[in-house]
Amino acid sequence: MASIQGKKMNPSRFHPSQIKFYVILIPMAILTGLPIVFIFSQALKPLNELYLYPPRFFVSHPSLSSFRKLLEAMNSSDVPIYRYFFNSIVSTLLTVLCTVGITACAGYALSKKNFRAKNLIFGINTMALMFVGAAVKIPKYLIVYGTGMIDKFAVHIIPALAMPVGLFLVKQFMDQIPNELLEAAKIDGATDWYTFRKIVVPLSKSSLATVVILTFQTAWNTIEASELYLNHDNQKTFAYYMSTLTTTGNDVAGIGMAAAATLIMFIPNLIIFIVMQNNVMSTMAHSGIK
Amino acid sequence: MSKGRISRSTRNNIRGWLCEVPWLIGFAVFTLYPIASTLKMSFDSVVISATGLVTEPVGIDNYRKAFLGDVTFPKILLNYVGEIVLQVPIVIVFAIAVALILSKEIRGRGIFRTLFFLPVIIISGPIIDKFIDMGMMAIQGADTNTVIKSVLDMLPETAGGLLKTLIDSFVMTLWFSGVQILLLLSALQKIDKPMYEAAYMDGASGWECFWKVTLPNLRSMIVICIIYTIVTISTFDTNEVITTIQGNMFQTSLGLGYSSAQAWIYFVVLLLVIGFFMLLYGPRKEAIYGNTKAAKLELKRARRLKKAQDRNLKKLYRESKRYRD
Repeated sequence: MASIQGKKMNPSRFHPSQIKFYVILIPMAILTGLPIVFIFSQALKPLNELYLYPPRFFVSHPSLSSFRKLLEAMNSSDVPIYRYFFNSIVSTLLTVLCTVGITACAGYALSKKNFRAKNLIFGINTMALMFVGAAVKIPKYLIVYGTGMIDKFAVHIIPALAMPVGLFLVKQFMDQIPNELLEAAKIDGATDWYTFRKIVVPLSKSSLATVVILTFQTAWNTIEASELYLNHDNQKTFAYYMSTLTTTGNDVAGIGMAAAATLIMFIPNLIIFIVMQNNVMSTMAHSGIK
Repeated sequence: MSKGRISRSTRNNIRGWLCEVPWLIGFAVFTLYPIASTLKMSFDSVVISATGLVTEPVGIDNYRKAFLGDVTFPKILLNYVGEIVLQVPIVIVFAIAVALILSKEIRGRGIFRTLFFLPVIIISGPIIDKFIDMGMMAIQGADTNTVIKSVLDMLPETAGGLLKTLIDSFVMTLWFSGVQILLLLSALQKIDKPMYEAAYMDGASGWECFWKVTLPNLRSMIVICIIYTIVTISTFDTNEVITTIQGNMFQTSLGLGYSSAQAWIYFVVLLLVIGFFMLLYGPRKEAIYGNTKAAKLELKRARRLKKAQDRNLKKLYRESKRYRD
């Protein structure tokens, strides 16, 4: 227990007494790490292995044939592929930046400010978390239509900005920052904005990083805006293009292309994750303020 | 001048609202309003025509149809409730166990933390469908394992079915715990070290420390994790209830009105599930500090003792009275 930690009985290097932890951790870690291996091995499988029954987990004769087919399909598309890529990157970046800013502000206000109806707002937010996203598709379309955003690039970004899950996490995390700390800053003459920037944001970095990961995920992978709100192909995103490749090409080659496309779609997620998770974990260790 | 006249509470109000406004607008327009309009639609019969949506109020017909007319929907809903009641404790216990181990100073802690947080990008990514197709979520060979099979055969059908779905989605259940582990880890780090030392001085073992110090201190965070788990599992795209609702949405015979009603029923069921878990393990303000919690418990015990004494006294009194009569 942590009492042992307090006495520094726990060795900093490996010790036989730690084996029991590894016995639990390693199988679990393998279990959670497997999907990544699977994505790579699936993308490298040649066609005959993809159709193997029963399916095999690892690839035995890796080949790049799926990627070659994907490239061929990309070259023959009407809109140049970098256009989709550009759309995806711009819309994802803007969405992530704006969402984190807005969520941090709102979370700070909800957690540390006293104003009327704040509990009501948070309550409604938590309720909204539980609503089936699929059921609001059509009303959402009507709103997008009503606000005149059909066929505008902004439709990628604006509807995605207010993310209930993000606010939920950030607010709960900020609740753990002691009020005394903010009061101390206030007594020392810090303005609201300064306190927010210098105390609240750094201390809740790990939850904000989580929000970045989650937002990036949804923004990068979503095809909703491209599918429903946009008519011109040159405004659509890379995710949408990938989904058309894999759903329309339902011939034998389709499954290989789908596997390769999945890997390509997945890699940015992995990169963002690796970059951000460092942030998540490292700040957490220092946030134990009293 | 004018600033001086505004009272402090008003200023606080204004500042709070200012921070809140950008988020609130987005939320109201793109989340709240669509949800509200589905509520209205659930009482209508909605037909999608070339000119737009044609609605016609039908009262509670949609709801009646969902419960009385629909053969599959109540069953799917019940299955879902059974599953989630089983899955949530598993996710939470798993998350607590992993968080506890990861909060220790062991070798390769960083790598393990990364690995356990990894499900966050897998679960919300596009690959998860492929895994479900491949049957990767099940424990390999569980279906053919004779021990498991015989256990399943012995159980009554509903319980056996639940257990089977649990085995089928075991890996997935574990994958839902990424954010929870993170939240619990951060809460674990905020527990006062002196508290453990005090407990240790009083002769508490590690096991006792866990139950008396760690768990009460984690309580508020566990409650958050429970809500988060229920929400992520329930709004997950491949959830059977959701796929049903989505399927009904574009069926001309049932239509948008009916699927809206289903969505609202599902929403209420979800609230009930959360309410159920909150009854079991709800937030308690005093649980934030272990010592006050202990004090409260002591007080409770004292009160109970006193009540029992009172009862005994009354009994004695009554008996003595009967004697006299």
